[in-house]
Amino acid sequence: MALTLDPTLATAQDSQSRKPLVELISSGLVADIPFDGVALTETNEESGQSVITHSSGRLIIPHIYSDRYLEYVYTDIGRTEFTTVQIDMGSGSVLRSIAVTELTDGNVGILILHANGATAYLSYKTFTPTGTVVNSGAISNWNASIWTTEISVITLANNTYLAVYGKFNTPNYELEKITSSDFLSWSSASVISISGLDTTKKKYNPSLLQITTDDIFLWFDYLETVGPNGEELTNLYYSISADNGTSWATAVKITNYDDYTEIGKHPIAIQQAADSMTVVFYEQRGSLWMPEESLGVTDINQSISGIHFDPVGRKVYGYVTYIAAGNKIFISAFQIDVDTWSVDKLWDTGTTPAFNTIYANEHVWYGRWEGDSDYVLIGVKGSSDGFFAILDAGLDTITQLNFANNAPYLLDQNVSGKSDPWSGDCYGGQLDADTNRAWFLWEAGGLYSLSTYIGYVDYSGPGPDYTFTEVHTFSLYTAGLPWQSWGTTDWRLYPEIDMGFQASGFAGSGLFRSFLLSEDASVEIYDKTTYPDLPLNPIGSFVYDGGYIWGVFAYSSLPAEAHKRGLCRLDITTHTFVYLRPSWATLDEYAFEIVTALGDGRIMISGAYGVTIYNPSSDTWILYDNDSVPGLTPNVSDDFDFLAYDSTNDMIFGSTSIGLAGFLEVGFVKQAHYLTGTYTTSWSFGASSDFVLGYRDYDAVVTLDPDNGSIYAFWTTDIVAGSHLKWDNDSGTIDLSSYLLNDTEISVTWTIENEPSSLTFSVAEGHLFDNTNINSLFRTYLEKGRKLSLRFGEKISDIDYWADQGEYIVTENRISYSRERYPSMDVRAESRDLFWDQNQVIATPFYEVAPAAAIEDVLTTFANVEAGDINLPVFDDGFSIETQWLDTYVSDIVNELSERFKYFTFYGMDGKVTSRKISVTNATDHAYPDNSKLFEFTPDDTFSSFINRIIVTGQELNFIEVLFAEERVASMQGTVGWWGADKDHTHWYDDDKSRRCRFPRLDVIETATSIGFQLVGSITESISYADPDDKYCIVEIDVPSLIPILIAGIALYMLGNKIPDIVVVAGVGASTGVTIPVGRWAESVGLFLILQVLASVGSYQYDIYAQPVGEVRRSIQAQADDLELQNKVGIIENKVEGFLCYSIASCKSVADFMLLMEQLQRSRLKFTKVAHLQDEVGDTITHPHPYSGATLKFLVNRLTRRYKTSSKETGNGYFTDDIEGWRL
Amino acid sequence: MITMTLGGQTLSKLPSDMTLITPDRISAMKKTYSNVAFFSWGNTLIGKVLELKWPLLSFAEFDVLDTLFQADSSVVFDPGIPSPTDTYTVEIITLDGEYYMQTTRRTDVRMKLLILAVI
Repeated sequence: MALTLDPTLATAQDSQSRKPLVELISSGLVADIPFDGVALTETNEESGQSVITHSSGRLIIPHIYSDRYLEYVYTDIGRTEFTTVQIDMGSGSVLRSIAVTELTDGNVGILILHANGATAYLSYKTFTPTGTVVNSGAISNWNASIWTTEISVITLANNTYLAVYGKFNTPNYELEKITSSDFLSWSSASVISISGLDTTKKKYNPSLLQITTDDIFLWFDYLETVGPNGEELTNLYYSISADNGTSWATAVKITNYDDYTEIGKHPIAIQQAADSMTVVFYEQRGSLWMPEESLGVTDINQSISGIHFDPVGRKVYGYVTYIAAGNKIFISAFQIDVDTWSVDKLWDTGTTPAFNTIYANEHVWYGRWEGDSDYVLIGVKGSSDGFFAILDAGLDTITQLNFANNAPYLLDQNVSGKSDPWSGDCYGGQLDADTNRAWFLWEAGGLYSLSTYIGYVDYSGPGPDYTFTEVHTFSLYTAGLPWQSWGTTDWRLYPEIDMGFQASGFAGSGLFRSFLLSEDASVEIYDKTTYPDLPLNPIGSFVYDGGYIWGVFAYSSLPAEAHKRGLCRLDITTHTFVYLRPSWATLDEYAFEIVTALGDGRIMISGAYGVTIYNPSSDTWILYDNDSVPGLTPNVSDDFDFLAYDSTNDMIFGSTSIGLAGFLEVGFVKQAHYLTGTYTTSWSFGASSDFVLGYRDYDAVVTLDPDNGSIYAFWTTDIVAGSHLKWDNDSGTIDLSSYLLNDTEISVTWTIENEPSSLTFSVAEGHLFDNTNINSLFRTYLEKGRKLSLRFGEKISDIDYWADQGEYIVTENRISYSRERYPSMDVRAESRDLFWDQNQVIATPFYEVAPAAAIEDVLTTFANVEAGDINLPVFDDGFSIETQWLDTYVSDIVNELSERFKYFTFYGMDGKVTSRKISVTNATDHAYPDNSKLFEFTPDDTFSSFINRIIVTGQELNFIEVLFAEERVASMQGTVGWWGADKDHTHWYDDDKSRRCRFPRLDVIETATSIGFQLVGSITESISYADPDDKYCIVEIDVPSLIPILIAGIALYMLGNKIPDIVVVAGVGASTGVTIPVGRWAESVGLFLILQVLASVGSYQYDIYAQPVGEVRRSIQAQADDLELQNKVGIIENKVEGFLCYSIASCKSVADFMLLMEQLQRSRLKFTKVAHLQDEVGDTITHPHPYSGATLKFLVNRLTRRYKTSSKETGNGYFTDDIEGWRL
Repeated sequence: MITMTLGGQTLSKLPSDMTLITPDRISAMKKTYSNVAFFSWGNTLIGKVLELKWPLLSFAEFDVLDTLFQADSSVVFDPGIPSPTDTYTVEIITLDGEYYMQTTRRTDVRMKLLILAVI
């Protein structure tokens, strides 16, 4: 639908005389708070910042630098750039705290608590706003060993000054105040009396705020209790004075920290409105703690069994297994977002995607599987076959590597290349995400083998088939080593040095060896005989770093071993062993567990005493336990297992038996928080929220922008090397309009051709927007990813009227500096659908909804578009689609769906996703009556073709059954004999019993024939049954039994044997006659029968032929013809596969649309006219032809709106629309 | 009597000529096929360059101007004229002149002020 303008604005668009306006607002894509911050300073010795907004508009941020310097940082009055003035407080000075306030004469006053030698001083300095020292002087001093706190000072409404600090006055810890009328001479200190507090307890970090009622708030953190290890529990309090600090009301507690694991400190308050106040403080914790129940653990016998850190995504990954007696089965895999310290996702055998249930039943074991990047690896430990799962958390997919078939778990072998015969256990696996290799180590047992096999699978391919590459084998037996050295305890591969290492052995028989990966050869075998310095007990965990193996082992008190304690260092070049004993305790057994390298030369080790870091360069040890970091673990256990390290933030992640801790090398986790107070009849304060993102970002001070009331915050960030300052501002938006350069063009282009809209412009004072200029407060306003909101408008009778022109994301900015050239910055931004081009969807749901609903679901589910930012119309001719997308970019899904229904989808002027129909029958949105706005008119068919026939193919939605040509589907051969049989053979038409065939036919190739069978008939083979579901048939083989004949033959033979011959006397004499051998005849007959029967054995063979049954979708197609062009140039045909084309009608519809696009391209035209804010891409516009005057109707497929403010010198400004359209 | 100040310094000698302090019109015109389009961004003093001319200044008088010029920072300019009565934040963008060789005077002194803001 065409845009609707304000009527006054719409009328003004038709005028020949225009007064155009432009507005460009920069804002963040996400909320500013919690702040991420940018560095104010890039050295490592800054702290103790204080801040005010000066009445001139300047921000003034004095802070401590390198103990002895006060750095006076101020901005210009427009708050665009920082300038630093450094004040040297003198040799030996150590600044403890500073506080700043604006003086009544417009200068700036700073109070300084500092020490020099044995004396602590409280002094003042006054400055001009730009950092020139005006006055300096001392106020008081005392012994430097006396406990003091930070100091705070404010200028009261009565134009006097009040300062407060904490100090120990035996036996009390007190808050003291001093006052002044000129900031030069100060009163003596007096104790502030606040009821409700124990005077013997410390009050830290006082800060003052006078609100609009003239009430003075004194904020501080109050030490409630001290723990057994000196840990402190503090909460935030305030007291109010209504008489300029003379008397103070009862203290009010606003936080409820109740143990030492989390405490609140350093409150600073600002009043943003008469009835609201923001209190910024920091929360201090020993560690970030993730209870194991949040990671999938459901009972005490389950535990975290491996972790690693992904520095790119800033996630901790790991897995949980069962650890008690029985199978050490897999429980869950997890992903923790470090920045929010929350569980992003858990995976188990019941999630989507799910791990195969084999891992929930077989040994997986703890500590055997090492992931990398955003991959988690687990496998079946102890399986000679090998079944492994690689979780790609980024894509949320699980790839299964199966070295064999496993029918109960429905696992089909998809990894080949593993040599035979292997038997024994797969010890474990390690992923290398850089090379996409999953490495595995098998141990093959057997007295004469005791071998190790190491190899990898490259899992980068799409699968399902993968190849295992065997890299290294080693046999203890072949090497002549004792069987007691058998049993891997740890193994590490370092492809970057072409080496691998393996530790093994039973207690008292440790073995360590190194080997080459490329040559399949051992480099060195460290056995006890050759290397007596090797620990007696096997190295249980090790890491290679800096040319050394760093390993841990169980202590042995045997005389030759007793000196081997702590960490073992093996030089793999000189083959020498050194033992390094931690300095934090004198023990024999340090109970180390896991060793890892931090990447900077240092070695980190977990164990029963905590987490320790050894620094080889300084030969120093640091121990992190509940004594050194109170609150490190909730159960005060120091026993850590698996470790990971975030080198960017110096954060250590360690698993324990009850959860996962994240703690900082630099000490406590400190994160600035804020809470909001509201006033009704009294002040009440709500729950706190994160004020900054960082976990070592604290001591935030805040002030308000005098123009828009936004918060400027400055805070300290701890790093290993010290601390520096960061700052941020929650203004959210900045109007860049006044920075847009005259005589340079602001250009914005919208198109229907599946491209993001684009915005280009240039800004003055580009150095301010330069992200590398740390002195600039504007450095983030045009950085990549910043949101820009554009409006054009018109000044009409001195009133500004505006029309939205969309929202854009900064994609590029460029500035170059050179002498004598003004530093302007060129910026390019694109509409948010630029993200769609880069966002790949692995699998959408199977949609059975209207197309607009599918687009909305894709955008909200896969492209982070809020539902409220989508405003799609119901598509004409839309129907319920039935489809799913796999491995497809969001932009392709949206475009496919939109184009199928003759729409295009884009971010509209209002910043919402919308769709417009492409049709020759669209109503006219805007009719131009004459050529008075027209600058240029250019018919241009450059990009057109001669295609004049479009054939679109598709498939019907429903399947139809078809019979394929007869083929052999089964065969059988066998042997039959005189013993007879009546056999049924069931023949499935394929192995998985799913293939369907119809009309089975038996083709007998060979059958047994013999006299015996001829006697009783013959063998018959026939199909006795055909499955009505067409999946099998039964062949009956009927073999007559000759056993009765055999029995008869035997009986006859036996009978004949008993029948005497018959003698018939005949002739002359008694001795003449004929002997008739009846018995022998009978024997012969019997024997004949026996032999015939016994010889009745033979083979048969037959094939079964049948017609396979299939289901296919019927192919359909339709075409559209441009007969007019065909008559001119012949048929130029283009055949395409239609999307969602289920019928001839739908094919025809798509063909017609595609042909229309070809025809429209041949009638493309361009013209330039005075900008009209109603016009939008997709509009149907009419305009007279400049020569004939005939009205032309066209659809706007590309609109470029150009705005250039003139300068007095050039007079070359304009506000125009370049339109490309299709003449309809 | 007009009193003109620049950077807090009262100019002991008024310029003989000075650009009229009146807003510039920022506009453009572009011919259309059958008409003309006129674009106006209104009138503004911001960015206007004022030229002040002195045919002859003493060394001291010139030195006052030169000191302000060499300071290279924005200054307040009060022309002291009856209308408009505004004062301006200006940047001295040029200061030029010629030596009058017989004495230490300067001749044909020209100074250009860029108006940054109307106070």
